[in-house]
Amino acid sequence: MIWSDAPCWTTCWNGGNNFQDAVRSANIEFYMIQHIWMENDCNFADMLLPITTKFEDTDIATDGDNGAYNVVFYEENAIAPRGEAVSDMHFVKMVAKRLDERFGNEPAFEDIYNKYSENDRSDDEWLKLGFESNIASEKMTFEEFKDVQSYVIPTRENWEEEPAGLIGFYNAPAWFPLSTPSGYLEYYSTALAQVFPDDVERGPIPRWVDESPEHQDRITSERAKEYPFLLVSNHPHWRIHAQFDDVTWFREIQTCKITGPDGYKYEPIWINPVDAARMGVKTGDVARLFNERGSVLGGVYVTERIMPGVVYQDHGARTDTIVPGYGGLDRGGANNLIAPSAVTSKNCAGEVTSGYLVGCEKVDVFALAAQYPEQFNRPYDPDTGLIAESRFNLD
Amino acid sequence: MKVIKFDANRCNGCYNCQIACKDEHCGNDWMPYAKAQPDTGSFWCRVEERERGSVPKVRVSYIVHMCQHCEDCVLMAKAPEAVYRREDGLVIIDPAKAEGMKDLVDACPYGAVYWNAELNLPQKCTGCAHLLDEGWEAPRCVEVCGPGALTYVDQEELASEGCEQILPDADTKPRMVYANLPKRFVGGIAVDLQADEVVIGAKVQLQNKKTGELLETETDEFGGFWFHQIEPNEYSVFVSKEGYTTRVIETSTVDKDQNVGVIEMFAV
Repeated sequence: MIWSDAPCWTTCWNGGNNFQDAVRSANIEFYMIQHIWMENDCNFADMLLPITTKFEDTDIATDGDNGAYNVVFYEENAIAPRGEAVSDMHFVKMVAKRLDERFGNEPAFEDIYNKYSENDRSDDEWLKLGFESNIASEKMTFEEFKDVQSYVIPTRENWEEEPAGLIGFYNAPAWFPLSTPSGYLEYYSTALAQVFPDDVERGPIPRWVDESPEHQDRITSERAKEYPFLLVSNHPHWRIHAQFDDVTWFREIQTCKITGPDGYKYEPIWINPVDAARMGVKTGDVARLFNERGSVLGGVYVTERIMPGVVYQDHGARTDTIVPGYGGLDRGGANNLIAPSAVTSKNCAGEVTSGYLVGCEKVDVFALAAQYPEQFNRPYDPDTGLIAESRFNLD
Repeated sequence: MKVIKFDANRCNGCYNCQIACKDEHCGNDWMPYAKAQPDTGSFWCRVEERERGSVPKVRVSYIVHMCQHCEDCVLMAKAPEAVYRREDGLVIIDPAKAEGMKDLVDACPYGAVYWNAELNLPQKCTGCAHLLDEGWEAPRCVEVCGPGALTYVDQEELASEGCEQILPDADTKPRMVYANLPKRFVGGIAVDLQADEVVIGAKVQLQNKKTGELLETETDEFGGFWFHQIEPNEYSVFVSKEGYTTRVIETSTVDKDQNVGVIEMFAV
């Protein structure tokens, strides 16, 4: 069984198509997802639980990333929960309660509800517990904090006298060594040289590697004969990665979505006029990007903003799966599905989601729709995309 | 009187203005000035992405379009009973009186009017009149402009130079002011194919064939050169460097920006 919360394996990273195959394996008896939105991975679940957004939850939050002062916030809910949605924790409590009721006599699940919920601690009590572990609790009570709703954590007393950063190492490296094996800044990693001496992709010093056992995505590679374009794919202009693919005011902007001849809003593929002329495509046509890992569709945007031999399509679009799995077809343009499956090296995680080889050709989207009638006729609103009632109906 | 000024040199195409206008008007009724804008299809404030040149000499200019609140407004002339001007110069289509007036959409030479099919109304930018009435200092589009491309300025304080119209030949006396609108460019690259090198430091002269005016620059580290913001015209491009035959290329920017491409230099 797989139990997942807010999953995004299909479009966020590489290997999404392998993931689509994996979760459909007979070895997985059951796949349960709890998530806010009906999107992407949710279409592969056996059971789907609606979860609240931040707007519906009362919570406590911190901001330690702004680079200035750390802040702790009290976030009251802005609206009541929609439908039957509950928070992640509440849903897990519901599962714990059922386990307790049905299997509470077994050692593994004995008293599991009370253990998980800490004797049914309320949301407010949880927030108070969190607050009391924060330095803000030295200045005010939880009730006072709920009133002012935020606390800016002040700088430490005499912070100006504290040594800055690596100043110790700078002044006396022998006395304040770094945590590297040599104690020095290492441009050549002595640890990597010792532990992974045979790693041709991720060696002790970064260097250009033209081709390797794990990666052949150069235009000089053998694979480039069949897949002659390099794909430039960025964190998208009009989304925050895989979120906000459904914003109506963005989707009517041409660099966000290209409306195809079938009225569907496709993820733009930028093609230089030189290549477009040879391919016989113009702005508004539908094309596919493909390699051995599968195909994704996109809307052609003929432009000089990309050079010949290169095509451009941002990643993170919501999947609209026509054929799932490795070698499949996605209408949404979620090109991470066809990104290289291999990570950086056998010893090092790291993904490639731009600068890899693809083929690009025009497709007859009406012929595809005739070939996959059910998949091409899901409930759909061009302004916003696939709607909550859309189903992938995978077997 | 305040007017909106758009400086094309500062616009980075972020679309904040277009989106802020939608945020203000989609689903919001601001009678007596405007009924709600439909969620999609209307662009009372619209960003144009103007692509210019060709690889590798490419530029994108962003230009913002909206109602110009013209002193000689065509709509006011056509439907004086339904379109009026406020004291602060803003032209308003009265939603209470303009129902069914679809011909106002095509009447505006700036394309600023949009048809709301659901409400059977022509609609356009109101200059955020309802906000100005509440004491806001500027319309939403100006307020959200990060780079300061859109500003709200005193018409009387504007210098006469550097003020352009989006439609230079229109006689509607538009009150929106534009600055640094894109003209034309000429760009290219000088190469020595025999040596398999770009030619750096070559003198490049651009001669306006009508006026004889000469502009001069040098090829850069990539052998490339640009002449920006030149008038649409016929030009000759002279590329010269000691040790090479001088090349002359004829080009015209009357219709569009020109990438004259790769200019081959022959060693003597």
